[in-house]
Amino acid sequence: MKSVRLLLLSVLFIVLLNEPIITLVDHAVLVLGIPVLYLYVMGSWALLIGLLAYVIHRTTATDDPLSDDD
Amino acid sequence: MTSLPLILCSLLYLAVLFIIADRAERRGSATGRSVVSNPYVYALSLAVYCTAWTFFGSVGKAASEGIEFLAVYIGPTLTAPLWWLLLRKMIRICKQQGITSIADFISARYGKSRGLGVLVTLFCIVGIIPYMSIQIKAVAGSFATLTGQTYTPGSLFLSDRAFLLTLLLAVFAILFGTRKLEATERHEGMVATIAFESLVKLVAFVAVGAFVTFGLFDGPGDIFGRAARVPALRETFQFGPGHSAGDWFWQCLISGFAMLFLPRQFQVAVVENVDEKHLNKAMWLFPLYLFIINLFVLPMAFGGQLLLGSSANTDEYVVSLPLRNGQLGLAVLAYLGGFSAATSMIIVETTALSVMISNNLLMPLLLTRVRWQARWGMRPGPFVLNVRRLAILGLLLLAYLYYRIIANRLSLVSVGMISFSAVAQFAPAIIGGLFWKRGTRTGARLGLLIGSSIWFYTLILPTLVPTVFPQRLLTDGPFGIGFLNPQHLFGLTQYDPISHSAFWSLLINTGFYVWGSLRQPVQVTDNNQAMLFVDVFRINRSRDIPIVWKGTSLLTDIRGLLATFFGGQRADYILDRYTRRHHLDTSQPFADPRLVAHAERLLTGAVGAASARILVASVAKEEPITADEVIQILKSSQTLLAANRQLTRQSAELQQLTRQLSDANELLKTADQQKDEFLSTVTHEIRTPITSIRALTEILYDDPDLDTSTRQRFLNTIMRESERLTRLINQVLELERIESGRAPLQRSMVSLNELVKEAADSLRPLATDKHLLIKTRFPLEPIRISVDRDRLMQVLINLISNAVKFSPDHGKSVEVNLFSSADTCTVQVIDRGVGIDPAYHDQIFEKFYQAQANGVRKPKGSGLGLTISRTLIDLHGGRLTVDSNPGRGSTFTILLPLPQSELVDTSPATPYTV
Repeated sequence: MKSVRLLLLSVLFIVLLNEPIITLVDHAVLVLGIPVLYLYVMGSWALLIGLLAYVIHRTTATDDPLSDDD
Repeated sequence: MTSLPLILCSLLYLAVLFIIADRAERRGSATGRSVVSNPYVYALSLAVYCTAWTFFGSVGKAASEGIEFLAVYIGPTLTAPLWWLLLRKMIRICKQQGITSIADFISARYGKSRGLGVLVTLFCIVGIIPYMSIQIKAVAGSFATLTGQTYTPGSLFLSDRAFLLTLLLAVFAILFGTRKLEATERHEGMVATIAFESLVKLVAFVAVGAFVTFGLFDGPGDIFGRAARVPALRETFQFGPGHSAGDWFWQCLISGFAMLFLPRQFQVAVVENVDEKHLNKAMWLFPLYLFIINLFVLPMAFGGQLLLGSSANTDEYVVSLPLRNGQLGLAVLAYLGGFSAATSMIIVETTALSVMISNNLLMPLLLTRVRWQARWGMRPGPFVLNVRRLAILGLLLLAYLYYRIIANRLSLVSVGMISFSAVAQFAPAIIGGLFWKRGTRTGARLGLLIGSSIWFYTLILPTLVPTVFPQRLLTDGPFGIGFLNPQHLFGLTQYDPISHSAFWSLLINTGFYVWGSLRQPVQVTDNNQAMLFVDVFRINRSRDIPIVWKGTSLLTDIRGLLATFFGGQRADYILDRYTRRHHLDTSQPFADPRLVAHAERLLTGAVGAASARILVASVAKEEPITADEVIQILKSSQTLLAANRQLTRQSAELQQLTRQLSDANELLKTADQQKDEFLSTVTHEIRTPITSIRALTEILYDDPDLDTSTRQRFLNTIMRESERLTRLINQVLELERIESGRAPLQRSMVSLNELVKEAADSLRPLATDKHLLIKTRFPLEPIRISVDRDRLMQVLINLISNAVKFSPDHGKSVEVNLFSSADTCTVQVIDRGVGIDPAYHDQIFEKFYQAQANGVRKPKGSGLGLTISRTLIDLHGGRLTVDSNPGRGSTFTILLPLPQSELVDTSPATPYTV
């Protein structure tokens, strides 16, 4: 279960941080004083790390350590 | 700032590192609880990923191309969630098999192939040398910036500061990486220093970043706001104009691979891992580290360009920005951060590579030499260590040379990416090897060879262009062949050189890996290793490592082998512990196969899988497992399986027999009951007429004065009852005769038309009494059939008389229809009488049953007529059925099979008939 959740997380952010979605913010525009592309990439990156920590620690607390071996 | 204080500063820093390493190792061996056994230290040690390239090069690349530098850090973050699947499996396998390097890993997976180990090692050396050379370049460059010199390489090696630095790093790496020969190849001291260095570079970089962003400017908004007013800078707010759709993706991909397959990453992430649970924290702490260290890269890049313009090398902004603003302390901290990034990379990388060189390149070669065996065979331990020390020195000298000749002209990032693309070539063989049992040695070798050739052709060749090859190579292609242009292979101009190379090499590498694997059947030893890799979790859970090893070796030989590498005391300890833990029999002079396998695993840790194989084979009289034997093992289990299946089948048959038996018993019981009922019915049926006969005769006898008409009537009744009695007894006898088979059918050819007509005619008088008509219908062609004429006549009369009997007076006519189809003929007897409820359709054919519902108790007849009829039709091979509803009359149908022999009978003269 843990592996599946993590895999989905990886796939989701591969989509979010690659073409063509990333081209949606590929403009030389400032948002909050920061170029929108930089803001988007750093923001989703931080979100991914947060979600990763959340998923790992929620499932680690409940999962049988051997249940993920297959 | 002059050179001397900076040199002293560097040496002091190295001394601190050495103290940390020493403390960590002492504490580890003294208390048994290592400082390294900690998820935070593990995550920090993974940050060896961030080298001088990150420290200096990121800012440089961001200054010229904006956000593209981030792909190298986004890639590992995107693949971090997959570590739970990938990295954990690698860790488990390596622990189980005593694997200590990436070359060993690939060689062990593909049948402990020596050739593959050599190939991977050589390719690693070629791929990593440029990467190490940029560390030298970065440190030398920052040193020069800080001391205010414009750096120019000295003409003599000894007068060149970079050369002295190389030597210093070599000594340092040797001190850390090759202290003693370990079975597990774990270096606690090294990991502790790497973790410390990761902290130093993070603190240094963030400090400089924060100073630039908030000290020199008014926060990131200020920097970007001012940069937006410069058109050249504003351009880099988005992907550059030369940026194509795929570059970012391919760079993310190869960075994700590099994070796992770079020799130093493999060393810290897999080999030095103490507990695989540490992955849980590392999986998000390591990306967090990358995130924090990159937070100030973009502000620094833009800040640097706004303040310094082109007056400073963009790769040196981290040092020159604080230096030019009077922050000497901060500049020295930045220098130390870069220095720590470079040293940590070089220590781990050279250690990992030197292990690969000794275990996969030199030892297998030397162990097969008799002369070497004679000279060093007694004490190979120190020899192995010396080989590694020399290897480290050699690697660093090579890196220095590469830096002198080539890397000096290139930026830090571009050289680093070349190394990343190199190790990405391992991905098909490793990932395929982890999840695909069918992957074979041939496939791995082919894929690696061809992938690395393409890598070399597309990335290394262009860097040699002005020095070795003419410029024309890049513009016109080799010998003027355009589609072989190393940077635009087959005319692909879409990508930048790195993505272009990654795409072609990975595509063709994977293709050949799959093709080579499927091309030929898997070999036995290959398959054994494939199973140990792919099914590692399942094997682990059953706590049973299948050892496919056959052979005999003396216990003393195994002990001797271990003693030469680990010392006598250690060898005794290892053997003793293993024997006790597995309750092995030590009275035998021969070693248990499990013990031999264990010894081989330990030796694998020290000298590599291929060498360990050779060593064990040299003392063991090994009989290779043949395909026959494997088949034998499979067969014996198959026989067991077959026997089991047969047993199941037999028990099922037995059950069925039991069921049949109980069914038969049930049938017998019913038959017995039926016989009882039959007897009681028969006696009842017989008693009724006898009672009436007896009563009437008694009256006649007692009263002689009865008038004639009454007497006549009584006598008539007596006669009728006697007839009935006779008929009943006859029928019972007949039924008994038919059922017991004592009345065989006397078949003859008859015309069914005539038979039906005759039966109907004989019953016309009875029908006329009730004012009924009997209508018959026949086909024109007479139906000829072989039957017992009298019996069939009896059945027809019975059915037609029943029909007449149950039709009301003046009722509708009784119909008798005859028709035939291809293989059956049908006689229908239809009346419009009272009819029979469908519930009784089966019972009317039973003995003595007369439908109760019709209200006529005891009509004329014995109650055996239909039973006899059905029995007779059954004897003819036909069927007698009824279709009826109360109040609508009944239809009795006789179906008789037409004799198939008729055709033959009618054409006996046909000459062709056989």
